[in-house]
Amino acid sequence: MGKTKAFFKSIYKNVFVRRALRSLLSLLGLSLLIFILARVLPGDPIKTALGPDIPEEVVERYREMLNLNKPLYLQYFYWLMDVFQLKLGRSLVTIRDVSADITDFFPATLELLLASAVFRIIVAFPLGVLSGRKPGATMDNAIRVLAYVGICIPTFGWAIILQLVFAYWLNWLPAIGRISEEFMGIPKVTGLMTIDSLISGNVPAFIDVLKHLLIPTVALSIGGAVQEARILRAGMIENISRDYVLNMKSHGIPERIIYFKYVLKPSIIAVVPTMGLDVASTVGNAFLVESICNWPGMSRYGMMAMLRKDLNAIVGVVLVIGIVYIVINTITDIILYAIDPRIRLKERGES
Amino acid sequence: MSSDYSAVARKEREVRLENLKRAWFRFSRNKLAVAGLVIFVTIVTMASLAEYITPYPSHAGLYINFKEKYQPPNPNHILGTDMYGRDVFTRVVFGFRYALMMVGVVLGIVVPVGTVLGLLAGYYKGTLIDHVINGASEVFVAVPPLVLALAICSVLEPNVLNALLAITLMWWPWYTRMIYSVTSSLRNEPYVWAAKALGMRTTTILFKELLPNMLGPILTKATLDASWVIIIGASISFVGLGAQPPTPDLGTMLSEYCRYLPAYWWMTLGPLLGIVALVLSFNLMGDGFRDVFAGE
Repeated sequence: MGKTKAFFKSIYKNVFVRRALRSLLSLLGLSLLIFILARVLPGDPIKTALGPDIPEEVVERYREMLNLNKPLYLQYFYWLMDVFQLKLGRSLVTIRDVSADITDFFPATLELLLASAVFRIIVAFPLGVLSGRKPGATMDNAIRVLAYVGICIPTFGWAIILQLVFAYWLNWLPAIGRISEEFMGIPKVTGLMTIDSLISGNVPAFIDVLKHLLIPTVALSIGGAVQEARILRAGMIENISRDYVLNMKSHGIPERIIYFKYVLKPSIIAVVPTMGLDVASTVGNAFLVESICNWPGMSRYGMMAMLRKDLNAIVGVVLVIGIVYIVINTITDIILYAIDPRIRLKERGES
Repeated sequence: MSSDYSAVARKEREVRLENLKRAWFRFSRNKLAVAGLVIFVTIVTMASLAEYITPYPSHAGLYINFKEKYQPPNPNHILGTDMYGRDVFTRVVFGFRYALMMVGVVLGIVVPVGTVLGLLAGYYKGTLIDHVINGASEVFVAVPPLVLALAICSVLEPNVLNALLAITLMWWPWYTRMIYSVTSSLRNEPYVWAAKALGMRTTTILFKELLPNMLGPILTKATLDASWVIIIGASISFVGLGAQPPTPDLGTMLSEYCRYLPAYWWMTLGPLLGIVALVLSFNLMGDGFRDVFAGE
């Protein structure tokens, strides 16, 4: 008994477990908040979803089926029981289980999310290094201007501009969708079309998917990426004037090695939390970008649900986004833990 | 005795005025920040005088003149006309009103409420008050702000008021958390102990001793947040869960106009430029404030 207790205690002492548990608790609170908001408010959700002309007995049957005639705390209890069995209740619009809908739509959003994270890394790090290397140079100023432009145009604005320029005027990229019609037949393995097309060895399909991916990805991440480059720049400028750099210089260590090995790393540590948070909030911004680009993902599904007041679907999507948020934050914590020895030492000192 | 006190109070006022002057001096040295201020003042002036300065005030709401629809930008309509023949420029200027009202209402509620809650939670760190306030704020930051705002809007009737309500509901935790972290680091400063030892009331300590130390960060955050309020407000209306047509709201206009995209692209440009100008001005000013207070 004592041993198991000690085991659980040691698990609880783990930072990641502790944080994840806290996040789960707040997720529970969030579900309660949305649930109450969704049920207490005036208006009949069934009539809103199915139209006002629906016969009374059908409404009654739906009400029975969705437990809407029970008291609120029981409704929440039933719903919570279902959630633990990975059922999110039935959508009033698609007449399917919400979890089935989300499983269908989620891979597309995940693909966008991963692409956005990759894009941020590809863009933010080189730009940050370039502008941090020679502060005040033309490159640095250009990136500064770009950062302002990036933050001032909201993601949906970027989506519209990119569509207009690259899809309609230049005709380089497809404006909407995920894949062209002729490649629709690629076998579904992971649900991520980039990987699926590679697995089936269909290179033209892969290129086609990448082309479709480009506009929504850039729209979602360009503003944040430039912002992150600026943070990296600030970190590099701060670190380069530290004593340890002077020490290395006086020892005759080549500038390039100092710069890329010893200045870059601590500067990256400052960017990682911001980047993690930004990638996580991409799920939110994806709501608009997905619907502009007609991207068949979970966020677009969520938006449809919101416009039609499909309560179970709304609660389900918000909940899944909450989980994605927690997962990304935990991954960020783990990356920080891996690259920042100070955090490791601090944790060890605490326990 | 009393004359001593009034002398101290006068001195305090003088110092405060002097500090303010210095802050303004430092702000005015920053060209970008001044540019932001100029854009902001221009927009506020235009929005408040919209009826008098716009060429076609009646075009703001419901107005139809099919003879003039889809006109590209020209001297009569500098941003072109839309599908009902309305002047886009006029509508954008009226749209500034909604955006500014949104910023005013949201920040006007959120900043005081979030600040008071943060002060309380930070001052009573480790007690029940702290746990309740922080627990509640954690619930609201468990998903991206935009998702929560959209979810709240979706269960309410779609209109401007409910969009405001949703943004307000999801915004207070961010202030609470910021003020909380500052307060909990300041609560053990000697001057707070001194105030306690002198027998000052808790409210006096919170609002007279602690709060003045945070005005800088609060002002900076509020200014930078103003741009987020505009973007989130526009997103909500863009989705169709906020202001409804024919309200000249920037987000609503954008979503109406972007359906005519490749052919009549200038319609989309108007509201987009409006949003960008507003967001830019708030960001420039916010960065200016940050530099001013960072120097102190």
